[in-house]
Amino acid sequence: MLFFMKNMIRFFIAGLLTIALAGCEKDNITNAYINQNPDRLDKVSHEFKEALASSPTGWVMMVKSSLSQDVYTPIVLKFDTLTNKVNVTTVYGVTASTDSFFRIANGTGSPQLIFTTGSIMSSLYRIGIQASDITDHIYNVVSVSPDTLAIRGYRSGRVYTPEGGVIYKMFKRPADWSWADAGIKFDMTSADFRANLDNVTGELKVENLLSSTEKVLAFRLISLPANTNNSLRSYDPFSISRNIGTGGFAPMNYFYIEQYQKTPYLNTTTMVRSAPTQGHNAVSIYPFTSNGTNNANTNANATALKNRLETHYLIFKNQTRTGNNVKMEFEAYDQKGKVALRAFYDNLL
Amino acid sequence: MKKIFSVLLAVIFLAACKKDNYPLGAVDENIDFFSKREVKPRSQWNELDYLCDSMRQAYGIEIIYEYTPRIVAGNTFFMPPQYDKALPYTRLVLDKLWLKPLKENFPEFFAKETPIEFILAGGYIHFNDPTTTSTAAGAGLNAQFYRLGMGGVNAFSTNKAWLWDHIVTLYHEHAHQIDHKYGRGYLFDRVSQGKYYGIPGYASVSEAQAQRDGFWYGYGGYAPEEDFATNVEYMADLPEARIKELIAISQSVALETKYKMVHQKYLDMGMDLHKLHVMLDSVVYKVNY
Amino acid sequence: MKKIINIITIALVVGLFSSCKDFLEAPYDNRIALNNLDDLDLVVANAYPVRADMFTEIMTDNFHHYASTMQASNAATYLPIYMWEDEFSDAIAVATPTHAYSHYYRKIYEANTVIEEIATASGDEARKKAILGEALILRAYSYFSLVNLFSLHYNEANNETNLGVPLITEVPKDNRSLYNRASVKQVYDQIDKDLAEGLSFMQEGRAYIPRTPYRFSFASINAFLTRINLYKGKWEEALKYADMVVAEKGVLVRKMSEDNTRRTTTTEQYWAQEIMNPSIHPNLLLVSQTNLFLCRPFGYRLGGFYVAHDLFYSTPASDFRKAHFSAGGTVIDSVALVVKYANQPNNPNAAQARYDCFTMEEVLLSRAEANLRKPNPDITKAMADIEAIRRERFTAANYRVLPTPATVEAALDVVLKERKLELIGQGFRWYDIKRLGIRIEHRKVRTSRDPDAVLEPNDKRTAIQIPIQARIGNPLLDNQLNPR
Repeated sequence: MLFFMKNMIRFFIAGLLTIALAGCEKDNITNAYINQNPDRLDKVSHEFKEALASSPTGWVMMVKSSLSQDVYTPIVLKFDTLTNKVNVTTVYGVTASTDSFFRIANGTGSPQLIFTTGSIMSSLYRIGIQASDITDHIYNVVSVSPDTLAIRGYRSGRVYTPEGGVIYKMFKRPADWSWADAGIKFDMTSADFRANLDNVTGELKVENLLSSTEKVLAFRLISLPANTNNSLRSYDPFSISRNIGTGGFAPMNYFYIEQYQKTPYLNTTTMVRSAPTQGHNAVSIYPFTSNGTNNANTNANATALKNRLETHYLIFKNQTRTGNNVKMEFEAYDQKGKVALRAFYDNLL
Repeated sequence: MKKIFSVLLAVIFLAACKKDNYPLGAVDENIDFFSKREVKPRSQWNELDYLCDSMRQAYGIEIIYEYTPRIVAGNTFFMPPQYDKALPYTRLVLDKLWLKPLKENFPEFFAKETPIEFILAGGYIHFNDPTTTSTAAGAGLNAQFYRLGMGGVNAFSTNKAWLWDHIVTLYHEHAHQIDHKYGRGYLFDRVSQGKYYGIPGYASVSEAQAQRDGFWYGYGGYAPEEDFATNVEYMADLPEARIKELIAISQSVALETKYKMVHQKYLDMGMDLHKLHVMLDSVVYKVNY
Repeated sequence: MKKIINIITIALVVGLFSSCKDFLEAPYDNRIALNNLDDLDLVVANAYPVRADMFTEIMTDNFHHYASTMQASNAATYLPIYMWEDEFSDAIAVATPTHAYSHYYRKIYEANTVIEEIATASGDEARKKAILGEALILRAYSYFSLVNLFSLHYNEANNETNLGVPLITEVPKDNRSLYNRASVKQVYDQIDKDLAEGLSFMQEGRAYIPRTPYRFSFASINAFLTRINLYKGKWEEALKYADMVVAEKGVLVRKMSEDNTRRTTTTEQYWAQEIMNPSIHPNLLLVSQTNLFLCRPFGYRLGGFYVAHDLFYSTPASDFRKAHFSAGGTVIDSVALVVKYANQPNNPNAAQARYDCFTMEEVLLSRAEANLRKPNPDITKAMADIEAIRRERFTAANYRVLPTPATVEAALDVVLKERKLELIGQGFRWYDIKRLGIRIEHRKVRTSRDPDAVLEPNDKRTAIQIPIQARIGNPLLDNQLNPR
């Protein structure tokens, strides 16, 4: 009897123990890894900071605009890691001479690159998809290597969209991208630049390297009177009066482009006129539709020009003057920053 | 024997289930979760950082012009201000027009009602979508007890009319905050109960008509929230004599009742809104910047 | 010795388990036996369902969503419902499909209890019939609500194959009975049968029918028949029953000017509470409930769903119906509630409200529509009903008779527009969308150019999915879900 009872009790206890232990078993969520590596984030941040500093001419972010399918918009970011200032250059306008700041902060799990004050970066975020697919001024740092810095928008747009925007793989600015330097060489407001160019019908040969096609346009640049220029400014979505969230660009200047496609068998004389913006050593063909304008024609014509050129911008590479003859070379880039399109202007004088 | 078993069992049960209730580690009571996660090192300070620091010491308010994830709520979208606008804005609007005279003239109101954070927004405040251009945007941030913010900093100008409009709007937004914080009061809502215009009515009412209906202008007739804020706004904007004159012209009992309520409410908090007008007038119009 | 103990132990254990077996197999039943008519009458009164379908308003074009003023806890439940998604959080337990499904079945259970117990109850035969008739009508009403929520709309061509809802017409005797979904046709057949029987029983027990706006009367049964026939597209029948309602009650509609006076001279709370007060307003059938806020997603300032801007902007301020749109917050938010029950700006738990099941306004609007859709349409009659309502929606000075539409189509447009405006916030629009095949766009951000979800005419999602809780309770339903 006693023996039996003892056994019973033993079993009973063993059973209870099992139940008790099993009942308490659970997935132990710990942050041991993070606790044991307190410097982890600091290390990655530091690496990232070093990498930013390692390219004195800056890093390039290629962003997609709804205006073009294959041509991407380049943004050149020059980081000064001592003063936390960042210089932003892109094609939509000339960079203003104000200070813009950035910060590298430790987020959760990865460092964050934050454009903390108003700059072209917050302008692009504010404007939306017509200018770029940027959806925040805060970016998570995704990966760091000597040649590529991958960053990703913290939010992906408006409310209810998931966290995490587009991943951008930034590369070091190519040496021959001198257009992104501070000096403005393509300047329709300068009389010297306009000589033998303003209102002279020349031709523009456009080579699309992606589709391996070529076309030749009759092409004329025309400077604008100040009042027309001012009225265009008031429609420009990038201008502060129009869209107050923005900043980073100097007051915009515009000019006319008149063009038609040359077809040998058709004697076309109608020039289609549009009013592009003078970008940072670039021609920016940016319709103002997103904010509305009282000149729908201007927008339609800008869209027509962009479609004809198959790019929404032309980056100015160089100008060669021989006597009265003026030649200019332009480029546009693909997602990886490779040349997608070349254009050659000749004033035919 | 039985007793031993019982005790043993009890121990097993208790011990076996004892566990760490904080899988991520015990809560450290000393951590201030509201403190800045990373303070910008002094070596990187620019002129505005020094200014903000001295204002924090003088007025106990954190002025924020650089954005981090902590600053922006998930469904509110606004853009950081440009540095070259934020600096003179902080110096002139926040220091000379807002905080300094407020502390000197209304010490009690200043001490109790000044938010502890102020956010500068380059543009205006967009709800739900950062790229929207089609709808109205908020002039400021006012829905949190401890935090006020104003938009339009990138449009900063020393033009007197701009400064006046901005500082008056700041008090309008601050009134929303006071409303959130204390409630404008049940009796206030009763005064014009059922007479609010809603949408789109408020936008098409003339100022004189609105005043006859008991609101300072159409905007205030939208709903009680705006009614309260526009009462503060008008007392900041117009001299006492003009306020009384408009009430007399309007012959509106509701307008007068609500005016008295709001004036008294602010008086109880240590601010005579008529004196606020005089004070703002002196700092905006009597000094050249 | 040991052996004996072992045997005893085993015997004991076996004995214990075997005695459990019988106990477990016998259905558990601790219900109170109902055997007198007073008890059964109370059960019938309790078998009136609340307006558990009120949440469907946010699935219609009556409301838009605005994130900035939504209480965060509402999002997980109501955003998916607004987007016509099948899965939503059950964290909020009222004003959801889950609640509606279980609520209507609970009321069917109560009606079934009465229908079964009445046979053995002692008492006056005529009174028995009155109670039985009312229980049958109630069962029909609950099934009508269920089939219109969880099935595609009535369509004679497809009723036999379209999934209805499980038909339970007796009190379950097993511990856990499982039920297959019947077809839409079977459910409607049951509804028609219950109604016909119920009506004849009630006529026989006419003397015992309670005279209260909270219980079915012949007028409200006729209003119910009007609605059924309107939803079925049987215009002549709908007309017939509508005429019977009007013959009994007269064209007696809500005098909204009186509401408006209350709105401006008393508190907002009192005004809201009195909107469905039966002693003031000519409602045909009301239900009163005291613990559920059925308008939760759109009935208070932080609900997250507000009067659609097109309605907000297009309704003139002189129309008293506009006065039921209570704007609040800041101008930037521009959100407005529709106040019809006790829902008020700052009250997330306005539970003490009366809800309407049938009103004269709905009957007149249905009659107007039927008058236009019957083989020989009558525009004059239709417009007369519309004007009967409109006359009480403006001050005498502001009231203008609408120009008589030239065509039946134009008249129908007017009628449907009035129907939408008159009944907004009362939980009827969803069924109009189903039966009229209206396309709706829903946006998470009201200014978005592109909608986030579109409900096409006769969309499969107009049959709300069987809620997960119901599938857990009745696993057979897992294989009989509404097709997507």
